[in-house]
Amino acid sequence: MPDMTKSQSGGTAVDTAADAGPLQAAADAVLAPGDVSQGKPRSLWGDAWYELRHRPLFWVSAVLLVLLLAIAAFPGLFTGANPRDGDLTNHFLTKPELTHFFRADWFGYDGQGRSIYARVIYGTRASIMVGVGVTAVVTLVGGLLGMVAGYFGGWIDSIISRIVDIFFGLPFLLGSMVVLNAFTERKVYVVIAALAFLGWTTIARVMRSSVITAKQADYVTAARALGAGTGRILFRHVLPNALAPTIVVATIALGAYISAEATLSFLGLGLADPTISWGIDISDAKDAIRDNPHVMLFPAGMLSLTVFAFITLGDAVRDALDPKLR
Amino acid sequence: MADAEKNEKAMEPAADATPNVTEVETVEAATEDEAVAALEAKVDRGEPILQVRNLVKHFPLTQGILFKRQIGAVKAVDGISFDLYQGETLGIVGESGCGKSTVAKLLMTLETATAGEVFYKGQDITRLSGRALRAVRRNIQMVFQDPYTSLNPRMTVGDIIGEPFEIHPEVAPKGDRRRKVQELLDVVGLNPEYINRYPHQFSGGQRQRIGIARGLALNPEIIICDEPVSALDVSVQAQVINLMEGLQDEFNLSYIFIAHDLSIVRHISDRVGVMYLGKMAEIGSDTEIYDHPTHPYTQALLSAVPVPDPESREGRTRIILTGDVPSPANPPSGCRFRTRCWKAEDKCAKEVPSSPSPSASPARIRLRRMSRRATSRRRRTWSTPDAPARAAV
Repeated sequence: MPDMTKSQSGGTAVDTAADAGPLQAAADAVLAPGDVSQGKPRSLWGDAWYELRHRPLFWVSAVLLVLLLAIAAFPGLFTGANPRDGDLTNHFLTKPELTHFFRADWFGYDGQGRSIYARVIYGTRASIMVGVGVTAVVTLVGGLLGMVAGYFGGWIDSIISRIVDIFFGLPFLLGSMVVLNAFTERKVYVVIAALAFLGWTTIARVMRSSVITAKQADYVTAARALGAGTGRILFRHVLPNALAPTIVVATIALGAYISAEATLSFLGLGLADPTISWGIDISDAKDAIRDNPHVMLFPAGMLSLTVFAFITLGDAVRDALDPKLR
Repeated sequence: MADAEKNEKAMEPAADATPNVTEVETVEAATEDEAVAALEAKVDRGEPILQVRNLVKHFPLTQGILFKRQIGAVKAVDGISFDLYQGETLGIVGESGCGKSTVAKLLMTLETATAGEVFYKGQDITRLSGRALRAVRRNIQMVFQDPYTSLNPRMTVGDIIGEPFEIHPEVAPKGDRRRKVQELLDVVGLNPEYINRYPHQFSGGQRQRIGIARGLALNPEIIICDEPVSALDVSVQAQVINLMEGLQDEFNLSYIFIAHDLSIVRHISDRVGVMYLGKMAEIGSDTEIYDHPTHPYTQALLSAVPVPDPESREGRTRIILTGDVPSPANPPSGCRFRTRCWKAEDKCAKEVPSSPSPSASPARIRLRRMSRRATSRRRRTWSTPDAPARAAV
């Protein structure tokens, strides 16, 4: 391997092309330098990550999300107050007392005399769990069905697509209200199931269309020509190239699921009282909104902030994954 | 060393097929004359390596939402026959929509033929499945038109060229694959260190080289090239064509070269088939087709080739066809070309003209190729593990 050793020393295209004739050597030298001069090769995902790192909006949403996830996982670290303790002497109290600073009543108290700050902190977990849970189920179920429909086509596609159409026809909020109404005990997983039941169709459609695009690519034909089986084609060629739109839609939808949970809880059909949730607090605050708007302000503000963080992340990821926008 | 044996076989298939041919290795011929003589001995090959007989592909046209019924068929390929000989390049030309690419897919068994047979070494491959089909696929590979879509953007070059070995593990043992991939990169004129790069880091010509390396990985005997250079710049086209010619000499490959660029087809092909509306209009050696075209369609097609020299351009007559290509779903009766033919008569509508002989002008390696072989400077045997170091001339 004489020219192998040669090219190791140089590391440019000229070395290898040297024995393939002068024309080719010259052409490769012209074609190559932009690629070769930069050191480590990057994959498309690597490129996307590089792109992400240079977006301020990504960092804003990422910091927010890390903070929110930390709050959801360890709410006790962020407040010493018990969100369920009500002291009616604090009824709608707004003036923060310095001595209470580390019990954190800077957001004031609600009608039951409970610390709004503590309730906002403890309510994060329910919202994040619903958002992440619904997104996980929806991505798995919708993604799988969409992939099967898109790849195999024919009658399988017809059946799955008609089912998707039927579910798509059901209004998301009204449908989940009807489903949740059938349950007396509405725990987090019940809400997740109800929202996922109606939410998977979007992902299925997105996945189906991107799989159809990906499976027609020449590299899939090339793999088939080599004799590759269905599994290899699906998981090595089609899926990696069809995943990006699904990731984007799922990230943006996550925020929508969180607000859907809050909406349902506000209407009294989502999570019920022993669970602490922003939606429940917003619902409780609605009667006092004229005299004590702060009771509404903080849970609603946290909700908006969380949804904003997820949607911004989704946008940033879409921009990074879509090479046409670069 | 089964591997080395296979390679050996691929290098000298003629000697294998016809035992009476003396063992003459082209590569070692001292002079050009000797090489030509040796090659001429090889020219009269026995059986063609690929025989296509009355190949038909109809795509059904259906109507109805729930209960689909067939209302017709697009006759993309409608009874095509040709032979491909070992070491030969058969060019297939024709305008868009004449069925060239469908022929390629049928030969690769990527589409199921409606009727007809494709014999690879006497075995009909259109009805094969499972292991038998996999074995055939090892020997028939493809190079695609668009180097931007034929390489998976999420895979490294090493994974792309190494994938054939993963699908056919018997070709290369696991520990050997990386080295083989690097050798293949070297064979197609790319830096073996590019193994960890991604396709989008390469130019179009380099990508097409990667595609060719993938096609070569399994040591095939036939490579079907579906417009392999039409997506490339003219200067890069020349490089890729030269590479393909060089590889053909090294590995004794047979090419089916599908293109619509008539001058490139003439440059690379030993024989040329002209397709029109799903039928083969004419098959012949490149001189027969280009210098003495007999079919009116071929004449019209060739008169459309641009001539660079303004003086010779003045004297020539262009044949301008009237009308459009008829729909392949409803082709004209009799001769397919009669609706646009200036020589059409009444009987053209009634009688279907006979197809050209599939083995018309069997392989004659032309002098250009002979001298190319004799003076070729690149000699490589990439898959022989202990091959001697290459001649550095």
